[in-house]
Amino acid sequence: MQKYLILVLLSILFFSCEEEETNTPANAQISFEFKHYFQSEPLQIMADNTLSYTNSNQNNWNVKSLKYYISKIIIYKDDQTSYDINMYKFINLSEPNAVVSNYILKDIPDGRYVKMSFVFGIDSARNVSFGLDNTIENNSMEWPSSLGGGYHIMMMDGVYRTNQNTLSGYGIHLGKPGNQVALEYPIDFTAEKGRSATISIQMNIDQWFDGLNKVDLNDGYGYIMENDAKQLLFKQNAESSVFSIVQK
Amino acid sequence: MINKLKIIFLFSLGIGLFIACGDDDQPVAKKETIPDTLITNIGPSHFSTFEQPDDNKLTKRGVELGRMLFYDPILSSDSTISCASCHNPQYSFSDPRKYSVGVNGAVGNIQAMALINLAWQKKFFWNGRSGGLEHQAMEPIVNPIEMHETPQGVVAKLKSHAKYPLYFRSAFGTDEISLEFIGKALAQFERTLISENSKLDELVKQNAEPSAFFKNALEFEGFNIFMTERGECFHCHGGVRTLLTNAQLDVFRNNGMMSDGEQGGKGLAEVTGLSTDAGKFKVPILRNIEFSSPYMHDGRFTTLEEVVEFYSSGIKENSNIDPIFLKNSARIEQFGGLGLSTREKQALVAFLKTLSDTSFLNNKAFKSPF
Repeated sequence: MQKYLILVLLSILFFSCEEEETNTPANAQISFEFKHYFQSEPLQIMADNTLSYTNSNQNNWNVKSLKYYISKIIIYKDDQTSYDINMYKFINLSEPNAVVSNYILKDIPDGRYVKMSFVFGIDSARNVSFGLDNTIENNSMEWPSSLGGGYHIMMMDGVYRTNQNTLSGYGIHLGKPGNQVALEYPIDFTAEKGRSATISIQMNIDQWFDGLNKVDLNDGYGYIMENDAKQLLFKQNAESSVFSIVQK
Repeated sequence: MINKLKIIFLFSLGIGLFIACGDDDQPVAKKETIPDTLITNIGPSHFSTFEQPDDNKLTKRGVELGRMLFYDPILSSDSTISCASCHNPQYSFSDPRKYSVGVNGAVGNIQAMALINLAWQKKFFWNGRSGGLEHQAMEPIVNPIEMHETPQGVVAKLKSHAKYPLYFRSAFGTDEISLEFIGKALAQFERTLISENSKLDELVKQNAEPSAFFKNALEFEGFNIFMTERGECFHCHGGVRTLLTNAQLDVFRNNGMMSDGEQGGKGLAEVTGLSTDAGKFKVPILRNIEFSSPYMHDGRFTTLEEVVEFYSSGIKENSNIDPIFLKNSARIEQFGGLGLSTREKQALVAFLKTLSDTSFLNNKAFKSPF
């Protein structure tokens, strides 16, 4: 009889589906935040045509929508070995209350990491027509094949007041293949089981117009997708002062 | 004694099996009657994937029931109007009339949208008031200016029908007939309405270079106007792949069709209550646009030429006009829009016709089963 009772108990134990709790610490990870500022104040996406910002050219402007890609976040040890999982992340601030999730770089091999890099836009290997996963998000960022194909690096849209005191739109749409920007920064993170860190990748919106190159929106920033000179202005601003990182 | 214990053991084992894994629990009583004919291979490989709702996976019997209901006027209060009365397959499941006419001659106030590749879409109606196809499918049945039926009325008719109770049981494994199950069946059928054989599909299937692919110069010129900042069409309607499914990130846009405060111009604001959403309407699918005249939410244009002319010279600036149009403010001031040449307008229309798919119009699986 005992034998059967044991079997009964065993059968219940065997078929119960409680997931086993493990206390093994997770592998090291870094959580990347994506933050956006105008002169150290958090970016405000405007639903209406309120002009929240002024640049050094005295343009009054706002941001109604901001979308861009970050790809190839890579971290490097001091011996130059690196951890690269070929990631990409679409950041979508197309409405005032949009929330951007963090990107978590998981399972980081043990060691001391001293440098990170990322690409603003999609890395060149995947920046070809239909190079990314066939998703709604990626399809919404297609860069026309007649202009080289691939994906927009960034779409920043908004309105400004012109010299003639009328409201006009601007569209900083970057994306010509080859205009992606690779950036690198020192970090200090020692990876071992159970350790984690947060790194904030910050886009300083004011620097798009007040960086190395000063932009006057009256000079025509409605249609720049086919304008190599204007693409270059923003590429150079991205390379110099638009981005910064903060390790927390 | 031993036998009794054996029975207890086997019984316990059975209970253990039955109660284990609550998450995977199936409604055992219903399982036998649910047909094991799930349709999983829906959608061609060059489309983005879509997920079927967990509580309404496509089955052959569910789709077939939905097809019958779609074409059966039994859903309307006086049994004169079916879904197909206003979503006619010949016109890409849209209505060639400006406004549809419901029971007792009631005239609607908005253009019936074409039903194509709905499986990839998440918001329905021009103002987006429905967040799911099942929900959308129920509304016209009880809308007083459409089918003007009551949930109780339609259920009673279907329950007393000679065949529908059997079809519902066969599709959903239940003797219950409700507006919700009607919505589910209709949604299943509507998800199968897939168009995938236009010229533009070939471009993607072949992964071809557009310059080499388009043999017709006018079509290629139109493609380039559509896909660049000359026309700006792609920023709302999407690039090549989005055009095929209409699966869009930014679904609602104000395209300068309505002046501030114009009657019938609230659009998305009717749902959100936000004044900044006034004049925003669902960006419609352009597939088979050649066959789904008239155009815009109020059916104000009857030809594609008129639509293109509107974007060229008819834009009305308003408080919520999309920033994409405001980029164009100098041209709007000068031309009233893009200021397209005659050749450019012809090219855009020619390109739009490369989205035509007559096999969709003629697909027997989409036609009336009666």
